[in-house]
Amino acid sequence: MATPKIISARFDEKKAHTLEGYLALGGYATLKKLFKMKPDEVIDEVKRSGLRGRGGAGFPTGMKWSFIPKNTDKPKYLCVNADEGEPGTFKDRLILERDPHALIEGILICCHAVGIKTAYIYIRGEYDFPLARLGAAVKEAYANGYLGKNIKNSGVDVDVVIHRGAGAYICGDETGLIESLEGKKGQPRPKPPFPAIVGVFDCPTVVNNVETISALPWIMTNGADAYAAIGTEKSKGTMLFSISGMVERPGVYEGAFGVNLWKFIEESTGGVKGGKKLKAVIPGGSSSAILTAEEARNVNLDYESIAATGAMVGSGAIMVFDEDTCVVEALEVVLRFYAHESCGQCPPCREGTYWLYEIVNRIRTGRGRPEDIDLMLAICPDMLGRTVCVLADSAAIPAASYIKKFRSEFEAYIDKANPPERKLHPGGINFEARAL
Amino acid sequence: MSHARHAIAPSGKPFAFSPDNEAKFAQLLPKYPTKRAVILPALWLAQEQEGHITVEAMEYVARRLEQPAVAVFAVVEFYTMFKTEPTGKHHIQLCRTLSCWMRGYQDLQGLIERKLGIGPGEKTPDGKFSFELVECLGSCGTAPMMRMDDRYWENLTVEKLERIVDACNQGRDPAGEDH
Amino acid sequence: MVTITIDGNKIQAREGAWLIDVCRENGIDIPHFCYHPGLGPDGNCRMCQVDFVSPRGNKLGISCKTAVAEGMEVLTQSEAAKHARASVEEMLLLNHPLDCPICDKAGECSLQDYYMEHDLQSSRQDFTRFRKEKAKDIGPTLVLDQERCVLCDRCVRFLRDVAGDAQLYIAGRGHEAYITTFPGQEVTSPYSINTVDLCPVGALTAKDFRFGSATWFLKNTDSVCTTCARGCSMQIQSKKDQIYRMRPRENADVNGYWACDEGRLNYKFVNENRLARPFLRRGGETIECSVPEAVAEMRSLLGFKPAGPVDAPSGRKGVVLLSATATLEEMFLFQCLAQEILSAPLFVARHVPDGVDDRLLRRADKHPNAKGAELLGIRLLDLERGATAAAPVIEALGSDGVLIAVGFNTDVAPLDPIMARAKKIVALSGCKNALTDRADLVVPGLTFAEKDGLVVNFQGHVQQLKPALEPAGETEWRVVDLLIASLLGTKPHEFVTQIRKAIQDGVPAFAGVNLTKLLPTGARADARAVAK
Repeated sequence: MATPKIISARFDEKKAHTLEGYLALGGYATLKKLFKMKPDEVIDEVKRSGLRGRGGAGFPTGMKWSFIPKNTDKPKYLCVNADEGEPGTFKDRLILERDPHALIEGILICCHAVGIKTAYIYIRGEYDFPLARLGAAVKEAYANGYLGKNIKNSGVDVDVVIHRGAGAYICGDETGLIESLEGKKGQPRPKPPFPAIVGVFDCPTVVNNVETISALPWIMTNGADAYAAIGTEKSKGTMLFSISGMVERPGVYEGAFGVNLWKFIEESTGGVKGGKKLKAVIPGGSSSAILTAEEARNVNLDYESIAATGAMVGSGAIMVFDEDTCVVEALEVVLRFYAHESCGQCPPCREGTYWLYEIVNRIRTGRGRPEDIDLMLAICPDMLGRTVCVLADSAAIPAASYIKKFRSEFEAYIDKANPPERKLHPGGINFEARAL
Repeated sequence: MSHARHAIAPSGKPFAFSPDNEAKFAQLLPKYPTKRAVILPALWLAQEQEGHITVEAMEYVARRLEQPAVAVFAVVEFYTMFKTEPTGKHHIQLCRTLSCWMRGYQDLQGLIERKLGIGPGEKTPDGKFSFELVECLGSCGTAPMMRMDDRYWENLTVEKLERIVDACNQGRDPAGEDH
Repeated sequence: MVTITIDGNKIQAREGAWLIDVCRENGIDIPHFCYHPGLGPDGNCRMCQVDFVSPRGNKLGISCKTAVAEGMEVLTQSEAAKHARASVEEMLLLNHPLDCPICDKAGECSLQDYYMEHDLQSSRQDFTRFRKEKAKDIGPTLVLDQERCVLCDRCVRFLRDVAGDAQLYIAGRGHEAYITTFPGQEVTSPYSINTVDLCPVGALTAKDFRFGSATWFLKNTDSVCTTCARGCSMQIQSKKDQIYRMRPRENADVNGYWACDEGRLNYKFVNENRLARPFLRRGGETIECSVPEAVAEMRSLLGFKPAGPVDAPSGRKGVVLLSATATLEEMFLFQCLAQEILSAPLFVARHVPDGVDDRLLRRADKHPNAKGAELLGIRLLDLERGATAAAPVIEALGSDGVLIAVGFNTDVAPLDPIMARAKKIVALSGCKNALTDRADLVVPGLTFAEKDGLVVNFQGHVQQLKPALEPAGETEWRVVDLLIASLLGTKPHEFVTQIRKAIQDGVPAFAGVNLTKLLPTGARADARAVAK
């Protein structure tokens, strides 16, 4: 079967981002059918499709919606998570830039299914161009009756508000996003209560990723069965994979679940850049465990198969290390990221990410001690599952896996007699830089 | 690693929204059920108006939204994009996370340091450029990349960055070099 | 109610109660930083982790923000739970400056306590600590050390959620996060020093107490704040007859966990301008005397013979004026003197400065016992509510009245018009002031810090002042008791509890209260049963 294009179908259409272009490609066609359906029928359809959240956690979308209380006097909200921030992930950006009306159509489907009248799209602050495209699309949708009151005489009202973030990875966490949307620091909330019960503005809230929402029009048009027929038993449909790092043609590639991971990477991108040898693959963003070249060649790309290796599909951010990529410095870069992005609430994260970073930095700069490697391995479990959100885990999981799978590289840095040859400029580590 | 947080002090310059921003602010309020939720959008307006957010602007936003000033300050200090000091005319945010690291952001940093004589967190004496290393900007497929003048500059090479910087220095639109 | 299992013991608990509270009520103290009973759980510090037993394997979780539910099974002392807490402690100490020898919180610091509790491991900390600001002056009452801070957010939550005035916040993020005021602003909340009590470490210290004393040398006395009509339960901390600090005691009926700054700091006068011995003024001369001599002089001033029982009422026209700071026992005894022996008018005076009752604790009435007077049936005068307020006293004094003024220690200006009209003045005061400068007989009284006495707050809640310091002189109730005994020819009372018993038996409002054995948190009088 040829790779089906569900999310990326219109990415190469020059005018798909405009209402005119979107309509010409069959956009908003599903609304007539949608507004005739009962909300529960829509939820059932989405449940049957097997669609899972594409933001990273992979939670079944229909089930998430069904947790929203039916009989409540409070307003309900949809928060669309466009705070794409997991290093390696750049796929929502394409949807926002090239197919924003698919997102709006998806929002209408979710809002109708759950009984929501206001949707907030939380977009990361750095996404200037996606913000401009999305803003224009929302404006057009309002002007033409696809948003606002009594949409296309259906009696359904949906308002969309675009909310711009201001630079904080943690706002991609669903409760971090909610806090930020409420005008606070984006510090995740302890759960329970879950957002479905107490979400934004203390009201029941659905938080869905851009890609998840954008898959809905296709599912409603083609039916849940058509979607569920793609992929594997538990990983249904397709997903956008952001492939970057040392490959010939980095980019966003839509793939069906269940194919061989390395084969998918190779066929999509042309393989390792410059014909170099493959060293490792990160399959699901920088917070995932790493796969050795051999593991990457032998695993299928679906939630369960990848999870069985200890890694994750996450947000579909695949990063490829070639033979010259230094795993020690890569870990330093990853840990610096998490130390910088820790919101600072929980000590195991606030202090742990910093501690791990300090140690790997000292190893990489030739100041490591033989006991440092085991010290890092001892610290990691104290950061797993100990905090409000999973940012600490996101640092500890790669740290432990890089060390376990490439221990000799770490040891080489510590072995004063044989320090590895430095290939890359030592990227200055500078926390103060943020202060500017 | 030592730490020197810059002191944030009042600028001495009073702040109020421009008529344009006042109109935008009025449109923001009904979009949210609480005034507090308008803090981020209102801070964006303030930053767009003055290039950075002064202590007076924080107090102003707090007053307009009936929030404690210190809560607004904490928000400003939490988000990396809110600036409490003026940046250069062209503020270079060079990504240094995994894919940009693999694809050699270090060489671009080297160029900036050589050519502009500024390191991370610094500003050229003429105020034309300031430079900041940032974490992942979500453009890993076109690494290495940077954000400058409210847009992305992707698939950078040392040569391309040099052309962009030259254009800025010569007062030309650097967009012409983005090829 | 639900049944849960904690460390193998089945326990009944209120459904929905926080697990950490249920543990505490059952004698198990779970270490914590961010949780505080007065603030509720926040869930950020991760110190209160316990082990939740489940068929799918045990799972660590926080006990502060977990509501108990039927069948819940918890291990608080499993290896996993203890290790999780020890590792949080280790994380918190990573960037902590460990300057305990010069830290005011040493001895009452949770970081120290939990370190002792968690195995005293040697440090694996091995990098240059992250520096933040130290000894930062953040207002009239507080000093902040950002390096010692564990970012539990208690101070922030207190000022924002309890005091209703957000003046501190955590800014920045990750390990760079820090407690701060708004740039250029200070913490000016009238409740600011509560943040020092709340701070589980040495990050917030009170200027008033900084470098005052090692906390373990301080003697603690449970007493009551006398600064306003709230009467917050207080602990007086003293050393060598000096008060070093006053802190609120938990009292759900009165002040919760809090006290205002004004009340906490209102102890300086205890060591200032004190009068040591009774004295009398004769023709511009001051003559020191003993207490029995002073009692005899009082008799003379009131027109009685110097000794022996008298037929009441037979004295010269007297007027008794008590401050509303006087204790219930003092008021009761002076009431006996005035009504049963002197047949003299009796007033309790308070001056209510401009101000209002705020939404947390502070009352406009700056006296601890006006309600006590009311329940005893004594007439209250609000002296600053217009010049006419003093009129009843002035009228009662007539042209040759003797004023007996009791308990006016500081701020006696409102008494000026009364003093001007009194022919003779007897003053029982703790401190030297304009009243004692003018009085014909002065008997030194005690301040709240030296007294054993009862006060009734504005809600009718009775609490006991207890002496923290050695008394400087004779306590007021004894002086008046001696006078009464001498006038009646009876034996004076030995113990203050005898007076309390008499109040309990004779005053309807206190009929249901065991005044002789009050709990540390006091008891509620029947405020509707006002004596006629």
